[in-house]
Amino acid sequence: MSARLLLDGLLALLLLWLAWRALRLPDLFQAGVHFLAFGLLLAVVWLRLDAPDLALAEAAIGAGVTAALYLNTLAGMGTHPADPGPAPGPARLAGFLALLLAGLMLTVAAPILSAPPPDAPSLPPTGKLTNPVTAVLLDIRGYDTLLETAVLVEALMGVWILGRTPALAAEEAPPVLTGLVRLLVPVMIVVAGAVLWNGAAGTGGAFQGAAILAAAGILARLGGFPLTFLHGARRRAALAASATALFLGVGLVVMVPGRPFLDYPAPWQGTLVLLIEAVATVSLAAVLVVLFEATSPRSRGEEES
Amino acid sequence: MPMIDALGAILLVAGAFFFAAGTVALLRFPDTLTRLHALTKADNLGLGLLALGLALRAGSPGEALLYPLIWLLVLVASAPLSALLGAIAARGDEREPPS
Repeated sequence: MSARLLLDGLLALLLLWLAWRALRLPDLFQAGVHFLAFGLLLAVVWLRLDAPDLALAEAAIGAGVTAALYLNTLAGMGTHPADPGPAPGPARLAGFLALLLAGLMLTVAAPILSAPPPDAPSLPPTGKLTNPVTAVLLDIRGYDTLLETAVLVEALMGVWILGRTPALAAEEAPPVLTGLVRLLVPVMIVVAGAVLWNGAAGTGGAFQGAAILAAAGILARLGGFPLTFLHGARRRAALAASATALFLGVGLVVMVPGRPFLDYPAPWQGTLVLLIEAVATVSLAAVLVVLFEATSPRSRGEEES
Repeated sequence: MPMIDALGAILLVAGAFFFAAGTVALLRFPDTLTRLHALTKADNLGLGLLALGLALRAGSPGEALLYPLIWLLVLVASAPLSALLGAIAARGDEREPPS
């Protein structure tokens, strides 16, 4: 048995175990930590599958920001909520159906898994975007990404519907934490910019940079810094919608000489993609920080200026 | 150079050993403060050895410079966080996870 197979098998088993524990532990804090470890291990799995962009995104968003959101929500409730659990009858039915589904999936996936890996699809020439992930996301399937940015606005609407106004006020924090934040946040902003810039030709991209920027924002909030550029509901709405608006605007403007929607002219492709990515980075980061603040125990629907 | 690669491999193994030692301490020590102490010493040293080993085996000087910088960043980030965790543990916060 080769070492790689052993490593991959170990990773798979660890993932299953961590997921099981995250779902079944009665102490929600421990479950959250297991979920965080699960996300990080999943990032390693993406690396094993030669997908560094996915690994970056998984580590930053899936493990980092999501776990922060989870633990933040947990701060507003007890770690052992009174949860009677499902009744035995429906639970057994659900378990049987899950086993059936797993069996079906294995039957369908077995011939795919045993076949040799397929060749990578050949992409049309993509100019300066030599990172195939960025090329597909922002150029070839740019319309899908445009719709994804609209999802950001919907996420913010979900926050509005719940009536949670993010507080975003200055707070007391231990001086050790504020010192750390003062040191780390500038570094994280620079790294986010570097990841964004690097995404055109190498690993990286808008979503990874946005996740790092959001982490910097969340860290700043935990350090008690008021993020004044996020104050005001209209400003938050404008930030969230800016990515979609710009993407749509670029897509429409390139139509003026008679080209199809979102078909960038060749000399402008790199610049337009970078512009869209930059705005998307800031926009997504802002939405993630607002989501974090809205799930905080401090914001209980009070009105703010 | 094969000698430098071999030295790098030795450092990687040493780093892995220190990580294993830190993990054993994490599992076996009685409470949060002692576990923190073990983790900050053993794991950070293990990471430093890993960083050094990877730097020796790196493809280019630019890449070799990155690994010690990553180690420094982890040190700078983990020191205040360990202090905060230790403060919470020392004052016996009821939210602290059970030993």
